[in-house]
Amino acid sequence: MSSVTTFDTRYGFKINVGPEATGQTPLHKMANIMWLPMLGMGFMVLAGALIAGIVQANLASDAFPGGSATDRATVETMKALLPGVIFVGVAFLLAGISFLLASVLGAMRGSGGALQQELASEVYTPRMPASAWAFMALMMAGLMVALISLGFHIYAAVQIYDYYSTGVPPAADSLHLLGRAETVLSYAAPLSMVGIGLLLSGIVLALYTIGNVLRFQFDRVQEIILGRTDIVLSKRN
Amino acid sequence: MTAYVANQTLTTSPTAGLNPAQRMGTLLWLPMLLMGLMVLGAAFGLGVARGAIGADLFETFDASDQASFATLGVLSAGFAMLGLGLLLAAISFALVRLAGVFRKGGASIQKAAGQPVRGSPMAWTAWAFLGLMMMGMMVVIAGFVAQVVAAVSIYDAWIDATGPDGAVVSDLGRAQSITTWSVPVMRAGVALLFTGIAFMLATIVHGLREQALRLKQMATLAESSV
Repeated sequence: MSSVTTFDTRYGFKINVGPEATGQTPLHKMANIMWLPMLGMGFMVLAGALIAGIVQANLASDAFPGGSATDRATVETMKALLPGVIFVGVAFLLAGISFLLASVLGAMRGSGGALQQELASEVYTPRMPASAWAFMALMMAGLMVALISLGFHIYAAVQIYDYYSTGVPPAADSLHLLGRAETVLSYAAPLSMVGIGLLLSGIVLALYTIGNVLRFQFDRVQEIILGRTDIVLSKRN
Repeated sequence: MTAYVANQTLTTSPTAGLNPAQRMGTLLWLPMLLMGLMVLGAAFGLGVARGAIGADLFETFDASDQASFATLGVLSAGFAMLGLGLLLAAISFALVRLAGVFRKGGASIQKAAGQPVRGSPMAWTAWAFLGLMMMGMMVVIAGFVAQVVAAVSIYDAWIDATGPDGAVVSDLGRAQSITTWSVPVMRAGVALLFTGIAFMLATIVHGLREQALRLKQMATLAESSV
């Protein structure tokens, strides 16, 4: 049975030292598969939003002036709904980029391990660093927040539809519906930005992790060229 | 800080061997990330406060509530865009740091192989990135300042209003004309930052090509010397 030893390093992660390359982790394999569906979904959602925007514009030209309550209600409902849909589309695209960066990390891990196995007696495999875990958490949190925000937009859109469908002009005693919608939209708009912000923060951490892994790999290649074992493991535990 | 390992000096300072832009990127990505998250948190907080005021406002009109509701709306949008700009700046700096890692690592490999270290001068795409990033940040900040000015005008417009139609028209008009251009200006700033990121990615690709070429040269030299 082959023995694997774990060492601390100065790159912000521990490494496993063993005779064989371990290959990509399940997370990397998931990222290899998921980046394309995420990009595809983001593109489809944004294309859907564009078409809905065109429909909304056509409806609006009929609804003003003197249109029916239903037309007006539909236009106002779409006006409330579309920003949420657009944010979800952008969130899917950013999630696609995030998965792609995770896939880059997986490729670096896989090819780095294979290179070491070919050229050196020991294979140094980085263990998943805290920044990579934080990246995954931020990405998932960002997606969830964007979807929650879409939920708020849908709720507000329903209230707005109920308000405007009461008649032309809308019934004064149903003004509370508009107030409820405005309140929910007040939460939803910044919440969407927070979701996008979480996804962007995840991307920053992914780039930081890639930088650290690259530093490690450059040092490891240097070790192999020089036939030394004391550059990467300069801080042995 | 420098650690000595066997006969080779290992420079552990994260900024050694980097050009000034890469040094800046290595140091600034984290502060930008934290500032961006804090500003977005503030935007969310302002949105929650706005929502809490708005719930009562549609039942009974109150000038103070209306002033706060309208002001917080403009401020929240400004903070959100500023936060987005700061996060994009953090991504830009993280990419610059990555370019620095490539530069430093490539040099260390050449040195280890016993070859003269050849580093390429800063590509034009890197200069374009720097210009776009700085312009983008300035534009976003200018747009944010305009949003704050608009928020003050909106507050002045509504604070003494006697009813839903009682806003001071001149103040309201000024605020609306400012927000009409400040929001697209901030979006343009964000677009400049995105374009800068694209140029930085092009710079990294350029650096990778140079390194591959240099490795090929080194391999050819090694083969011919055998």
